[in-house]
Amino acid sequence: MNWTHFPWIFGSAALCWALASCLSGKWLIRLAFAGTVVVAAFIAGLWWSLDRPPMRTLGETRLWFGLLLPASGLLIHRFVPWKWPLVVSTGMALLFLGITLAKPETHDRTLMPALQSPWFVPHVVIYMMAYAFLCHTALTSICYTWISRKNPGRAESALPIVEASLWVGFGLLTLGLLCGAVWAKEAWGHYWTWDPKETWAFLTWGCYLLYFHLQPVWRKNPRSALLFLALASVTVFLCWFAVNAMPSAAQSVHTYTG
Amino acid sequence: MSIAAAVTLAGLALDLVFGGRGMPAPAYPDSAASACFFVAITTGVYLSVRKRPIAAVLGGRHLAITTLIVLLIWGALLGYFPQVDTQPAGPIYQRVLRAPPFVFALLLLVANLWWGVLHRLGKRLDASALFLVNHLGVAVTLGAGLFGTGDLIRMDVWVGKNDLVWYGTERGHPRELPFAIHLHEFDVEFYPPELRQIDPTTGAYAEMAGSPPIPLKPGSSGQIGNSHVEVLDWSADAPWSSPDDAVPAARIRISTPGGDPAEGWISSGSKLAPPIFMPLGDQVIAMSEPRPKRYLSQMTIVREGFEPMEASVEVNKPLRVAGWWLYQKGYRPNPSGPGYLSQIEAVRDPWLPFVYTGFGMMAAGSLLGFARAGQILRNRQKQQVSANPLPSQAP
Repeated sequence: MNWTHFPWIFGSAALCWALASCLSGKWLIRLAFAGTVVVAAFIAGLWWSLDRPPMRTLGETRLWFGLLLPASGLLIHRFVPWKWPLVVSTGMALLFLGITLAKPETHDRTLMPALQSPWFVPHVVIYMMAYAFLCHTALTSICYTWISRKNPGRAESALPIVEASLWVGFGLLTLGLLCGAVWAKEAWGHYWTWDPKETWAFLTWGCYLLYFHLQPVWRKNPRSALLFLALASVTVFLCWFAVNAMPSAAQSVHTYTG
Repeated sequence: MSIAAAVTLAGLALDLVFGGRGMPAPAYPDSAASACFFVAITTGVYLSVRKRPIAAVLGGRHLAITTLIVLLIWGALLGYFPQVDTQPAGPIYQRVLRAPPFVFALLLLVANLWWGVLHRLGKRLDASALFLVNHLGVAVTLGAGLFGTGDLIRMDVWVGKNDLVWYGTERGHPRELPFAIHLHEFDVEFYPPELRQIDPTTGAYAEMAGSPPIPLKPGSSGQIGNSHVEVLDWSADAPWSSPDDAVPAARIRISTPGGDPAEGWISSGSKLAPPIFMPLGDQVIAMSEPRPKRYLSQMTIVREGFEPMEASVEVNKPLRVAGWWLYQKGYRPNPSGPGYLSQIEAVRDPWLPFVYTGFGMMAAGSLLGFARAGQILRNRQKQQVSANPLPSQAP
C-alpha cells in the first residue's frame, strides 16, 4: 500500500460515509464503520510499506484525524444515539482527507532518530484522539449555538453532551502533553522548553482549563458556554497548523514538516 | 482581577528596575530555601485567614480565572514572537520567559493552586479526588519547574574519537564536568539515499508529490514527469573518493520520449567533494543528502574514586551518571581530521523527581476526568428517563 492508492481509499470512504448519511439505524453505523475501517486499513498499509509510523508530516497527521474523528463519532454515538454528529464527523473527516488528497506529499521511509522513540506513537495518537473529541465538542457547540438562538433552553440540554466530550478530550490532551514531555526529556534533554509548539499546546490546554473554571457563568448562560467552546477550538488548529506560519516557528524543533 | 493585575503591574515595575535583564534564577541551596519559603509563606497566609471569606478568594476560581487569562496573554506573545536574548534587552514580548510579570503570574498560579488544595482538604475525599490530583499535580509540576530553573544545567560537550574531555559549555561559557568522557567510537548509520528533483531557481526539493521516491539502488527505476529514470549503479565510495572522504554517488539513465537517453553520475557530495546533478528539463535530478538513521557514542566514563565505566549513549537512550544525564545530541564533521565530532549534552536536573510526581498526579486526574464524562452521561440518561420515558431524538 502506498500513496498512489490513496484516491481509491478516499473514494471508498467517501462512498461509505455518503451512503451512511442517507440511512439510519444499523446501516448508518455499519457504513460509517466501514468507511472508518477503509481509512484504518490504508494507514496500516502505509505504516507497513514505509516501515515507520505515518505520523511525521502534517499530511500524515491529517490522515490520523480522518480516522479518529469518525471513530470517536461512533463511540459517542453509542452513548448519544443522534445521527447528525456522526454524519458531521464523517464529513469533517472527508474534508481533512480531501486536503491531504489535494496536497499530496512525498512519503519517504526516513524517520529522524529522535522520532524513533516508544513515546512517539502514543503521543501523536493520543493528541489526535484529543483533537477528535475536542472537534466533536466544537461541532456540537456550533450547532447548538445556532439552534438555541431563539430557544435558549436547547443550549442547556446540549451542555451535558458537550461537557462529556470535553472531559474526554481534555483528559486526552493532558495525557498527550505528558507523554510529549516525558519523550522530550528522553530525546532532547528537557521536558519543557517553551518551544513555540509547546507554548501553543499550553495555550490550547489553558483555554479549555479556563472553561472548567468558568462553570458558574455557564450555568447562568449555557449558550455562552457553547460559544466559548466553539471559539476555543480555534486554539487547537493554531497549535496544529498555524504555528508553522508564525514568526516564532523558525525557533521550533517540534513543528510538523510537510 | 485586582490580585492578578497588581502582580502584573509589580512585575512590569520590577522589569523597569532590572532594565530588562530578567528574573534571577537562584541555584541550590537558595532555590530549595526559596521553595520552602514559598510553601511556608503561602501556607501561613492561608492558615491565618482560613476562617475569613478571603480564604475562599485566595484558593478560589476567580483568582484562577484572572491568573489564567494573564498567563494566556503572555503565552500568546511568547508563542507568536521569536524570543531573543540581546544586550541591551529588547521589547518585553521578545523576552517573556524571564520577564518578571510572566514569572510572577506563574508563581501566583502555583499559590492559587496550593491555596485551592488547602481549602479543599478536609472535605470528602471521593468528591474532591479529581480536584485534588489535578490541582496538586499542576502545582507540584509548575512549582518544581520554576524553583528548579536555577539548578538546571545543560552543557554541550563536543568530543572526537580517542579524545578525553572533562569540560563543556553552558550558554557559551566553559564549565567543568565532575567526570571525563573518553570517546572510543562514534557510529552513524544513514538511510539509503533517494533520487530527488530540485528546482534550480530556489534550491528546494521540487517534490514528486504523491509518488514514492525512487531508491538509489541498482535496478530501481521510476517516472518523473514524462521521463523514465533508471538507476544503473550506486556506490558509497565513488571512484573520486579520497581515503579520508567517502563520496556516495549513483549512475543513472534518464529516458525522455523523443530524445536520446542521457547517462551520468549524481552525488550528494561530501566534506571535500561538491554535489553532482543531472539536468531534467528546467529542473535537476539530485541525490538526497544522507539522513541519519541512528547514531551513538561508545565511551568510557572516568570518575575520580570510581572504576572507569564503559557505556554508550544514543538518541532516546540517555545515560545516567553521577546525578547527570548524558544525551546524544548531534554530530558534525571533524574539521581537523577524519570522521565526526560527537555532540553530547550533559544535563543535571535535581528537581526532576518532583516534576514527574506532578505528572503522575495530572495523569491520574485525566483518568478521573474520563470517569467524570461517564458520570455526566449517566446523569443525563437518568434525567431523560425521569422526564420522558421516550428516548430523545436529534435536534
